[in-house]
Amino acid sequence: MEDAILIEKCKKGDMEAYERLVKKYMKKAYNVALYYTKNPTDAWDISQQGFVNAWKGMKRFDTKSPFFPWLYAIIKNEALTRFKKEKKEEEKKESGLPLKNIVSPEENLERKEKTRKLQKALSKLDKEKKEIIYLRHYADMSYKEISKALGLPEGTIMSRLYYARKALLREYMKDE
Amino acid sequence: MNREEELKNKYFDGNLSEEEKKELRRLTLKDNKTAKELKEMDKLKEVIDMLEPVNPEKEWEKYWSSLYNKLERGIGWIIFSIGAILTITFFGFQFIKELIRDPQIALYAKVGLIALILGLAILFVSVIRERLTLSKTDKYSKEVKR
Repeated sequence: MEDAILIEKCKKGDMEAYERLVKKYMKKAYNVALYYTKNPTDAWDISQQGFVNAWKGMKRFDTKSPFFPWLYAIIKNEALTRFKKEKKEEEKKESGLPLKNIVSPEENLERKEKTRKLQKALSKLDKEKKEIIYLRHYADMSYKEISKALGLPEGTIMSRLYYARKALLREYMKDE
Repeated sequence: MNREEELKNKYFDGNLSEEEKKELRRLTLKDNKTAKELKEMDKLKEVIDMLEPVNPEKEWEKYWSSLYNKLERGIGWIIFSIGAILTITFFGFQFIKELIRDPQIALYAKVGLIALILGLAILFVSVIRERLTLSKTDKYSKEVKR
């Protein structure tokens, strides 16, 4: 079922429709929260709080707009507001991306070395480039969703992503 | 962003149409640098897929049930608040009525108590009104902290 239909039902208080919407976006929401919190427990809580706030504000949501960028904004604000109060956490946020290696222990050292190099290359990128790479590749957001979420035209997103990937490639190839 | 860059971006995403694939192939034949860059992109793409976001500490099946509890609690609080407001209003009214009727309480004490209750009620209504005004303004639709 399309988001717009589910959202219309949610506006009438249909909890089953909201359950379907939540299940569709929960992993993406968690991954976005994880980027801003760097902690799985906080990411779980903040993404859920994002869904609670979205439910409360559903009546004001414009059905013509895509749902996820709106949820993204709610989650990002929730994470930033919560961590603004805790300076130590703020410092933690500036550390590396919350990514883990999915190469199994049985796999060869070469593959492990590659992921280590990628982590190192990612850590060298500036905040803006890291964010766009993460949103596209790890939060699995489309160009349209990133464009709406960051409030930038799709062309700008494409261009930023191109230069972010180029910078990542440069850093990665330094170690080759 | 020029055409070549656009094609490379689409190549990275795996979104090239047949026509665009031919166009990019022509570019690689013309320039070795482009061909080299595409090979490097392939390597990077492969490694990007070897990483994933850190897994949640809880099971995904529990996500909706724990969220539902939070939503339910929110509804519970709203109902509780309505009940509390109605009860306080009713008993407050009864109390003031009895207070006015009671001949044993001095007039200045009656005026003082009524002023106290009225003041509290005004403060309460003011806070509620402010909260309602704030909630009507969708802070997420326009301003996103970046």
